Amino acid sequence: MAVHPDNKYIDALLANDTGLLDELYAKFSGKIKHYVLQNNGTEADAADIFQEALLDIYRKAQKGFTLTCPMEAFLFLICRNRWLNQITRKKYKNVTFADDEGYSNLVSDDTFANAEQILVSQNRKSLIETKLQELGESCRQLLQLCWSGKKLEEVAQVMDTTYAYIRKKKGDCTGKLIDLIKTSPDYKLLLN
Amino acid sequence: MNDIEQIEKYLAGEMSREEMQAFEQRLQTDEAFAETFTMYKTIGNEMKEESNDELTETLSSLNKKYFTEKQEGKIVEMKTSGKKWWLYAAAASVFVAVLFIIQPWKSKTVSNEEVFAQNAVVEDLPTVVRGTNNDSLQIKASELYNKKDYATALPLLDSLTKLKPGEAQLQLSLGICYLQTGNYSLAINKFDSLAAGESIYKYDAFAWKALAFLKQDKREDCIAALKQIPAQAANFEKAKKMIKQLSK
Repeated sequence: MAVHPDNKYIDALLANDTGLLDELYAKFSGKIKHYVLQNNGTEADAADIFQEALLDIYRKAQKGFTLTCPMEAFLFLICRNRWLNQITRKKYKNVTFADDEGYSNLVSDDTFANAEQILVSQNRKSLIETKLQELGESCRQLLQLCWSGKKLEEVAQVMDTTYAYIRKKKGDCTGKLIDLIKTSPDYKLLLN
Repeated sequence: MNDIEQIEKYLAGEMSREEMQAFEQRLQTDEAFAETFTMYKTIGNEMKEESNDELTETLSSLNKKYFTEKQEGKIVEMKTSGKKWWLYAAAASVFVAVLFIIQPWKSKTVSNEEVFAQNAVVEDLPTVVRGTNNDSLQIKASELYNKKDYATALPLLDSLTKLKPGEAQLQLSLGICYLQTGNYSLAINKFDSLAAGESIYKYDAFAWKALAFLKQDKREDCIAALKQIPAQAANFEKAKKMIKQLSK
């Protein structure tokens, strides 16, 4: 698939290009606001959804992703997925699920696949985070430190202990987390 | 060796050829083990994040520009969750403390050190973390910080601010640690980013930036930073008095 000219917005996310990101907000935030407001949300909800969606796309882009459709269509898809996910969890009613505002004509299968992956990733994270809350405090803290991009040596320093202990403990905590996740009916989310 | 240790050894490439073969054989035959292996990798992939504070900051300020109700939404959230009331209480108590610390009747000229000592009032960090489960890293950092052991508190606060980038009070404390340990440019960076934001510490950040200049005997820069504090800010009067002291 050919790269769409709107891929410049993906580059802008990667480069933290404030000017171009401002343009992105100016062009697209209104549409998303409108959609969320029409579907039982507030402007604050729309703001959160919009920012989270951009961070989702940024993380996707870090792993190598190029846009093959208009940004507006892709962004709409991600925001809609996020919003639907959120309201289903809150058990809101009276939301029009089918409405895709005509964007589906603009996007190809690979874009849908990318949007789907972002949604899967979001659901996985939310399951992991729920189970993380059931872990003891020291495990939770250790794992969060490890995930924050710190080296184990640095984590050991922060926690005031040795590398060997941290490595052992990280393994134990991950094991406990996996056991907890396996008790969830949704654990298969993490399997493919 | 338990399963996780084996998985870690395998992924780290620390296994011998025989161990590797046995491991891969087990993946084929032991379904529960294969599931654990996949989950281990998925958790790592999903949760490991090179946090990008700069991008998050850009997006947050654009959010403020393009979504007007954002502010209101946040405040309502704080009220209902009750998590952050102490932030406001703390800010208010600083204001009260400041009123007592400024002594307007004092009129002799004062040295930079004296002005710094009078105005650099460090607010304690709460050692009980409300709302979240007790977080020992935060408690430890706060205790060290409140004991004014800034050098030891610094690396802990650095980690904490990465875990909780939205907590302005932690950001401010980290800046103060930098200042108190002589890392002026890092301190000023922190204060600048808070001053550019919209947290309740926005104007405190201006005042601390001014104090960082003062500590380096840069009176003019200090006064310039103080002058950026607007009349509606809680610490406006304090800033005005400091300018007066320094202009003598």
